Amino acid sequence: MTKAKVIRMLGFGAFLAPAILFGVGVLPHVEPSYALSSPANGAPAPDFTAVGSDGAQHRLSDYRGSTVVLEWTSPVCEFTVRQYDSGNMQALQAYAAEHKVVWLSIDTAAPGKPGYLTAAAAESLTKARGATITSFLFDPTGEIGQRYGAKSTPSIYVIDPSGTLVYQGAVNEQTRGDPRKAQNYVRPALEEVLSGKPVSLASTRQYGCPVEY
Amino acid sequence: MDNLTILPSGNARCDSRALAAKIIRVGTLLGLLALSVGTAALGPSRAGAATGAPTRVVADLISETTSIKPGTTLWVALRLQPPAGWHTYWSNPGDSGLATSIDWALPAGLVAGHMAWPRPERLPIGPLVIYGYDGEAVLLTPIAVSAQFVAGQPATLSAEASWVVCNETCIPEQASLKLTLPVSDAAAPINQSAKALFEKARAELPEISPWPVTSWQSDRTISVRLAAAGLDRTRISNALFFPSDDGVIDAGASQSISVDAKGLTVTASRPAQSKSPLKRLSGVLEFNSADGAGDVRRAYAVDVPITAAPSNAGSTTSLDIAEALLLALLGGLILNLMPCVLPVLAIKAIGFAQQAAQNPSVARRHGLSFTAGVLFFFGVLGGLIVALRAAGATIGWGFQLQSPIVVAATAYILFTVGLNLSGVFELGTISIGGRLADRNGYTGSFFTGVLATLVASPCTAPFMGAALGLALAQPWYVAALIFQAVGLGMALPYLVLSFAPRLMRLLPRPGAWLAWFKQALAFPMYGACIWLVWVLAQQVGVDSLAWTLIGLLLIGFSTWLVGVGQKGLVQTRLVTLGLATATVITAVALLAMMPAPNEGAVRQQTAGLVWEKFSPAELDSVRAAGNPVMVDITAAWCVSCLVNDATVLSSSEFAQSVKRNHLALLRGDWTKSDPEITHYLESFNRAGVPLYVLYPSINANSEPTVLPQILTKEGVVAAIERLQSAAAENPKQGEKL
Repeated sequence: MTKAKVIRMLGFGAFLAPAILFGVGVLPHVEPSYALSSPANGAPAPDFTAVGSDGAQHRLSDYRGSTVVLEWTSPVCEFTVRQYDSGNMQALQAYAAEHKVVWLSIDTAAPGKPGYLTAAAAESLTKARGATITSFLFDPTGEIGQRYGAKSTPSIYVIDPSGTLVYQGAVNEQTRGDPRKAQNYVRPALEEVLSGKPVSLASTRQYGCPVEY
Repeated sequence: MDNLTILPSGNARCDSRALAAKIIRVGTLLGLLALSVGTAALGPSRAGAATGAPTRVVADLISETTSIKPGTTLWVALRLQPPAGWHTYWSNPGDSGLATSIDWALPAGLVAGHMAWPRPERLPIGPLVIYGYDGEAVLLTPIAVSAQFVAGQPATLSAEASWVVCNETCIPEQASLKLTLPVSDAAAPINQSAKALFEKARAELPEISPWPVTSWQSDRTISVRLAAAGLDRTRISNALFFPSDDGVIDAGASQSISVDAKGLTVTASRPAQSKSPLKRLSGVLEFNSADGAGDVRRAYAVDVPITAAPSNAGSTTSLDIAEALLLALLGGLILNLMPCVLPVLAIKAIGFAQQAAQNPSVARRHGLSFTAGVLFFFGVLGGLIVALRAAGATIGWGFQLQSPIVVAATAYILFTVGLNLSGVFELGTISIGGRLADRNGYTGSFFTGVLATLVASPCTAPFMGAALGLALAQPWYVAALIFQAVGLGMALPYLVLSFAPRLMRLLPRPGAWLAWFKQALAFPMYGACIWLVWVLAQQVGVDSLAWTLIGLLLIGFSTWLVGVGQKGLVQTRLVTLGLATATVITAVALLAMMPAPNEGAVRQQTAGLVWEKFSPAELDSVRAAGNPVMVDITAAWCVSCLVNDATVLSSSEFAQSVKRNHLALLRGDWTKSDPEITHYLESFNRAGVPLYVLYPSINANSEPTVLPQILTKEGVVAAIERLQSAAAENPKQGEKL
């Protein structure tokens, strides 16, 4: 290698290094927007860690390999209450449990909001509702809700075993009455995921009560 | 309402909740009874109350006339009266909730038309925004009465009304409503008790626009324009567009408004997951208009086909693409004059001067390589910005300087270049003694272009603000074109020079003076380095700064080693090169220790004036207090911001004007990434700082004024005084001051 060559390479290095640094340096410093984002179906479901009513930390990615249902719930929202009073939600949960689907109920309500629950209250609510769920998780900062773009309770996100978001929307078609009589969206989505088929109705409009950010 | 705040805690809790709900329901029932007694007392069959389960909302049907005349249209109102603080929904409920609906069961001969929705209100609930009615809602339905409808027997109109009523939580409710009216061939007398109600409800229905309405869309936005020539911009405020359909716009995002001599344009963001372009836009466009009698909320129905691009050039903020490309080109040209670019390019010019003396065709090729380097960098940077934004990050021009690592790395580069210019070591690529005529020198020209652009990027030239703002709102290929135009503008003088040998002869001939000139150019580089280190000190504090300074020392040491090696024996050279490489690696490793940026990098106090921290919420609350407001969005790394700060915003003239006009001051710091501020910049079609906005007193009903990016004392003071005179024209404001 001649002297000129060595020097030239050093020179290029001096220019390339900052260019690479520039690229690498910027990426980790771009903060996500704190407005509601809306993840796309077919994209990886945003990972999160949340404290459950059992006091333990639950990480979404720990359930990789299983189908996961995220249910945005509220103890005070009449739309959610009707899902449980009618037994519609419990029927879905039972179907999920039977097929080893992980069911995470999430309460996005800060302390002081009507829908806020203590861990003990959430435990007894789950028992009182007769809900067969994997865990009841808390999102008091609203961060998980914002990452999923959760707008209403009740709303449902289904994540397939590879961690891909495959359904987002309402539990069933818009109704003010008995949810059991309305067309259910989650049951067929789960059936399709469990049999390895693509979800035919993958996105519906969330309706109900605004999530209590 | 209290029952909703009781925290459920098991079975006992469910009981208490049910009990509370019962109490409420009994209360509502009593209210309902009182109302039906009341309406019954008014006379027979003008208002129909609900039967069925008691509801939180008091609902009733009210007829406009006291009888039905065959062959006419009867108007019936569904009135929903929720308790204070509760709201019901519009036909498109926005982010959550459900629209109110009504199902009629009418005797044969009566046919109900579509419900006429009053103009909705935008009701924010945390980050969500819903469209609806806070308090009472009066929804009108026209009922066509057949001419064959038989007079004599009273007719009963039945309706199943369903609605969702919310405050912090929501309750779906329904009621069976009935209204019985006599049928008579005589002219139907007006229901006097409901006259005011119907008048008010009609006034709130969206009108057909008397002006042409157009709409266009980009990937991220949708705009609707009323070509209302002569609309007085100082009288228009709070313009908002409400789409008829869910998912057309991001309900929670703020909308930008521009009023010019030819009309009014409202631009809203499309949802991030929006699919194919829309074909038609329907909805309601609303704004407040101060017309003689005071502030009136106007609402116009919109239902128009959407064109792909702005269909007219009347708008002041949305530049068309050709104009944006030209501005981008000019902006790029001006970048050459920035103190952080000039030294690098001066070296290039010297190179050309040498080429001129040697071989014009080689000079041409160097010119092209340099241009390619510039365009390459702008391509990469533009691509990076567009890609990151597509991924949902909120960034803008100059964003790279929001990262302390990049700031420190840029300081390293500038220092290294400075040392090279000072003659500490020689670098084949940019040294004057190097063989530029060498074929490999073209790569050097290419990287000179890259380097020049890297150091120029923080210097957002005044011309570039609007062009880049537009670029970031465009499809990626248009954005890329605009970024390339900036690059071309920057490279243009050198490109022209390299292709025009005659011009080149005008440059001074190379000689001994070149060595001195080169050494002198090192000092602007050191100056720029000081500036970057200062920015870094603002971002990370003094302790972390020490590591960067040590890094600079190591760079000084390693370049000196290289210099020694270049003058010494082969063995010395190898040893020094090895040592130098190790030292550079250590210096670069120090960058990794950089912490996240601090809060409050920008001074909040200048010239005895206190600037409050900017946030959209703070802006709203300060405006609500009634004072005019000046917003300054700035960043520690923004040169023009600092110049404005030092020359204008620190002046006593400015301070006096602020005090005289009771101007509230808000300063937003974009030194590090802040999505709220990025959104605010975008609402003014800006991609970078500085941004200065003057808001008149909220009572003055005029639009905010955007000040130029380069301020003058006279200009700012005059703009502030204009606010005052605009406010004085308004009687309400006159009383206040």
